Amino acid sequence: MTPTTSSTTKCLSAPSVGFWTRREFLRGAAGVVALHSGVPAPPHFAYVASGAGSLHVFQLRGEQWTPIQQLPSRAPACIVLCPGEQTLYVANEVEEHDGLPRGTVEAFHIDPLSGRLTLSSRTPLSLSATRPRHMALSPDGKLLAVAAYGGGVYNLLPVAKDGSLGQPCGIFKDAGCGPKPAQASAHPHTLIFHGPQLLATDFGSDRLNVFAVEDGRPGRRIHRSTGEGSGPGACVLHPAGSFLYVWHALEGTLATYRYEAGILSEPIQRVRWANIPEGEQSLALHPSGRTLYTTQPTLTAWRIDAKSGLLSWQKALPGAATWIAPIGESLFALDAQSDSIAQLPLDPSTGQPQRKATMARVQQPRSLALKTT
Amino acid sequence: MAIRITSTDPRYALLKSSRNLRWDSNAAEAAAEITLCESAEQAAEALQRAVNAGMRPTVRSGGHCYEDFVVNNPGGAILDLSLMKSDTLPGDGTRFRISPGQELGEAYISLYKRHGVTIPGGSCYQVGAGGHITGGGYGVLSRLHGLTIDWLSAVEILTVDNKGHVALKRVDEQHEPDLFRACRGAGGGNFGVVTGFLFDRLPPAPFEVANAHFSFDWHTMTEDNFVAILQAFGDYCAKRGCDPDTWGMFAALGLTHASSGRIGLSLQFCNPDGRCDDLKLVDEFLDRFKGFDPVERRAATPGDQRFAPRSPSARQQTGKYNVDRMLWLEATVGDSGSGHSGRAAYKSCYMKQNFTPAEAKCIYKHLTRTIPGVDLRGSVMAVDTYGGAVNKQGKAEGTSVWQRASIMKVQFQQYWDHADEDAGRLQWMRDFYTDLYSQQVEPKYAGTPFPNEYYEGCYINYPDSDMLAYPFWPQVYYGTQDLYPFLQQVKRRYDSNNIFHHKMSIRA
Repeated sequence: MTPTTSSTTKCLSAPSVGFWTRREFLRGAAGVVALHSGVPAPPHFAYVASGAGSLHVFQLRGEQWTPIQQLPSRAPACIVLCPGEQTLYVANEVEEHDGLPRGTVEAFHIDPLSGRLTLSSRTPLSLSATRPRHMALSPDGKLLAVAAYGGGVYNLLPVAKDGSLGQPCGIFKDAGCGPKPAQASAHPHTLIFHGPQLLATDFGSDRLNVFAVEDGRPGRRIHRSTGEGSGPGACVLHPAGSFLYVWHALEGTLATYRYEAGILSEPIQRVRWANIPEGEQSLALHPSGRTLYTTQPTLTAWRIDAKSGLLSWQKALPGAATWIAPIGESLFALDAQSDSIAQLPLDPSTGQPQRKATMARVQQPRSLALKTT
Repeated sequence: MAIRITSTDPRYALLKSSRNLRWDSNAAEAAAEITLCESAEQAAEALQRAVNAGMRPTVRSGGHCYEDFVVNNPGGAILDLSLMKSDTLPGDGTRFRISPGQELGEAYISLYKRHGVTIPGGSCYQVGAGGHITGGGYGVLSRLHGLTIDWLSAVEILTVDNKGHVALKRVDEQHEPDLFRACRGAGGGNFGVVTGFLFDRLPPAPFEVANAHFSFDWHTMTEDNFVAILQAFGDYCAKRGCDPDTWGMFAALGLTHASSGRIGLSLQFCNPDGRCDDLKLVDEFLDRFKGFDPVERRAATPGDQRFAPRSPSARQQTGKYNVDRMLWLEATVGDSGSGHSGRAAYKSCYMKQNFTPAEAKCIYKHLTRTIPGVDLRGSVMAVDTYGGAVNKQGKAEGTSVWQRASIMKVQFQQYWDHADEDAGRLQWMRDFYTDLYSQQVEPKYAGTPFPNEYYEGCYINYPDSDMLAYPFWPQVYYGTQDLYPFLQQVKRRYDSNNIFHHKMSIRA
């Protein structure tokens, strides 16, 4: 299967923003994991959300994963560690909570010694914020953004110093649609914090949104069309903060957008696979910013041109995955088809995986976070 | 230009608040702004602004919703239509128009003075037309003339299309008939912002009515007598009350808690010709209760605001029973209220049959039950006569009110003033309701008047969020046939983004 690429030169430019550090970029871009500048500490515990309705905790010793806890969770779709790693947040992809049309976010206290989880709260989202699928922490760790795919709603929840969550303080109810049957309404898909701005893809309305977050409330500043029926889904922001890579799920293209100072360009590149089925894709960037990884139709590495941000196909990687994330010096790959969790150590300079090892098996793994402190 | 009120405006404190102090609109729940709209154009502009800003719009006319559906909206926008009172006709032959911001009393007066007609309400002066009519429009004259939505010819409504664009539509049986049907009784806050109700015909207002109020002493009440009173009332509704000559009889049993001292029985009556020269039907009705020592009262049951206080101009007619004969408009608008601004809770039930002995005994048990430290005065189970013209064949199909076989309509009400009473009062009410509606329904539907041979569920204009505990709550309000799926289909078509939502809105 050979990808084809096309480039456009049309883009919008704007002055760069200088008040957010690279570290904050990285933390915002990573979304589901806490990244650290310098050499990361070895992970101690892994937390995995299972589509079968459970969370799984593993203790990590070298490359050995030992299951230590399994506990129920309603349709966990996405997990995020709070900055101090004392709390784990879980988005519950449900239609209803307490008889009302809304999803929830569970907060679990993490025992610092044993790594075990204890449910500390279940926070209801706003009305119509159904089926939340994705979350992102603000760079300062004070807000948790939630994308409610089902109801077309964004929620911002305040995070207290102890990691506990407050009721939604910011709500944005979106409206929109696309031409395809799956696009009858707005469907917020993936969130990325970039300083005080929140980037989001909307699968239902074929849009990229940029929100300015002020006083815990989101106000939309930009909405850019991704093309009728494109279905923008997974996205990642380059560590330098200047390029946004977006998977257009309904047209099977990987698009590159220039993103500077809150201004989003037209796509400067669209990579299309021939015959790729429409569907979900997971994207991940190597912290160096030199390599992008995709999961469908096979696990693939893409070289990123440092100057232009353009992608070029690099190589197919071993194994299959439905969700990936680079954590520390490895790429972690979850595969819901084979119920496996694999680790692919990366060459620190090239970003290339060196080998693949299956670490654990969990039914329908969907999301993973590692506690490293 | 609409009037936009934000938190810095002195009017915000009042306008963000509910009449029912149980919904106190604390800062976390309050809307960010309230926009007072005086026209459809202003409402369209305000709605578009809210949608563009990602703010959930809440639509409010009179603000009498029993739940918090028209008030609590964290960070959202309330579109307040209470100043939208125009009755300008569209010039298409439509003869009558009611705007959502008109209070029912204003509509009664306007329609009567201009045309001599009325909507089949007849009570609740301050209730806004917007919510009243979209939920069905039931009132004191409904046995005589049906529901207000049975007379509705067209609706003007702002909808938000799937791209988020606001559009004003006029829908009727020929134009977008599905949306029109959904606007006829499915309840407010579901599909759009209704900016006008249009009628080609309305029934003539009665010339006069006779009001009578009686009560029974709780202190001497026995369980046997209590059961007999309820069954006498229910028997009338199930049999004699089905005859068209009685459809001008609206009666209500005010089953108060025993601590209130007296049980109320009130009626308003006119013959089908709208006059009260012949009151033998009143005598016939009241005769059913003469064995229980009814005492004449000069006012309705406390808490029952459907009956106007006695007008100074009323002519007391002394006969077998004393009644007040009043001109209809005097009796209807008087200084009747619905202005209660304390704390309140409500539940409902449509009844298809007379009370069974078990039901009546269960009611007696709870109305005589005391709970240490809980004041249950201000609690009333109001049992209204129902049916008549409401149950005429063919009315269910073109509207979204499916309950067309009931003979009584029950409204559980509680009124109190202090928040520290909430827990005890609400628990008593829930226990009462759950117990009562666990006896004659299948076990899986226990605690609800799930549609069956005895019940036709609940009234959407008496919404009760306790019912959300039951996953089958839509069937309790919209029946077990095709109405709710139909409404879901309309929702998907006309509000695919679920812009209009509250706790009990249609879920597509």
